[in-house]
Amino acid sequence: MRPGKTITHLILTLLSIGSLFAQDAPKDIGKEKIGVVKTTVYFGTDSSTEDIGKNATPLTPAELKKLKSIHKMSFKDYRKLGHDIRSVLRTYENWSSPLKPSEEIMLSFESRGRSEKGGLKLDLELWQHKRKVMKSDPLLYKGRPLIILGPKWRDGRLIIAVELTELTSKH
Amino acid sequence: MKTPPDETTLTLWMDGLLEGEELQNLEAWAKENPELLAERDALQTMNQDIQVLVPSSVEPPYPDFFNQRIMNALAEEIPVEEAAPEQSRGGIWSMLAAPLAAGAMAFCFYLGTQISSPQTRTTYKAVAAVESTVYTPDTGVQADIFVDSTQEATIIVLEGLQDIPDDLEMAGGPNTEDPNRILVNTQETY
Repeated sequence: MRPGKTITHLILTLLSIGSLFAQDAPKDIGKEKIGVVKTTVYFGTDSSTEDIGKNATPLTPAELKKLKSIHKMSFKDYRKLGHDIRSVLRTYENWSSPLKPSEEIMLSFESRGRSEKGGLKLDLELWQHKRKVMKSDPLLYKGRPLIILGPKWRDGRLIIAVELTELTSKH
Repeated sequence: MKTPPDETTLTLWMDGLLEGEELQNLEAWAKENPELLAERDALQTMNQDIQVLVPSSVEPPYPDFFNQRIMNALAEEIPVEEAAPEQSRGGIWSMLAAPLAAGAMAFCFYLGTQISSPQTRTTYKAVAAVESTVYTPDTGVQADIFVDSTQEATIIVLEGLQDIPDDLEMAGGPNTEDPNRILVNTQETY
């Protein structure tokens, strides 16, 4: 048997054994989804909303009522600029970019565990122009969002809503 | 014993705590210093007097029916003239006194439950408000966090952020989960 052929066989054998171990490797439970967070960016203004972009959409009556009821976020008109839906993972940090492809506004979040009352504690960071501008540790419940009055843009303000839409049951 | 004792030994002797050979040596030395013997006798006499006059420990009076005694003492302070008219009332009022008192207590309890409900909501609001904190790395950015009046959202108001350029187009479309997204494991990050 030629030496080259022997080495080839040896490499193939090692690769086969390696693949077997890889299949038996424990699954990374850190990537397990424990919840889902929806991030929405609104634009509130007392001026016109005509030229803010073709993808801007009107708000639903429920969204409109919610934002108008908040004193510092009460504007004459609103538009939804974009949203993103991301999983909350057990031990991994995840990112949300609701204005994709723009990365002007981004959020990073990481689980800090469930609360006894059915909420989810997060480490949440708000990034503007790839620069961290805020860090918080909100306790999110379904139907009870975190709403952030963000930076000025054109003749209004950006409003970022972070809502827990799904929370898996305890294991 | 010819050399005078040190101060510690002398103090122990004065207090009657010296024993054995040390005591014998010091007694022999003290015979030559009668003023020290007199001083020791005076000190020991004083200690005995103190022990007689002041007991080592005093048991506090056991507070049996402490509140009742206070109430009794207060009742004794009430002038008899004020109590007399109450005693003179008889007939139907004395019969209705107990039911009226019970009714008044029930009414007060009802009022208490009505008052306590808003307090409970206020407590919840306060707890909800302090459940989360907010931090801004830039000192020029002010952050305020509170729970909205409907208790259905937590609000963060950021002031002092850099304005987003007006010519920046941001009205993008919705996104879905990207399986190729890079994930950062923070499990062992310190």
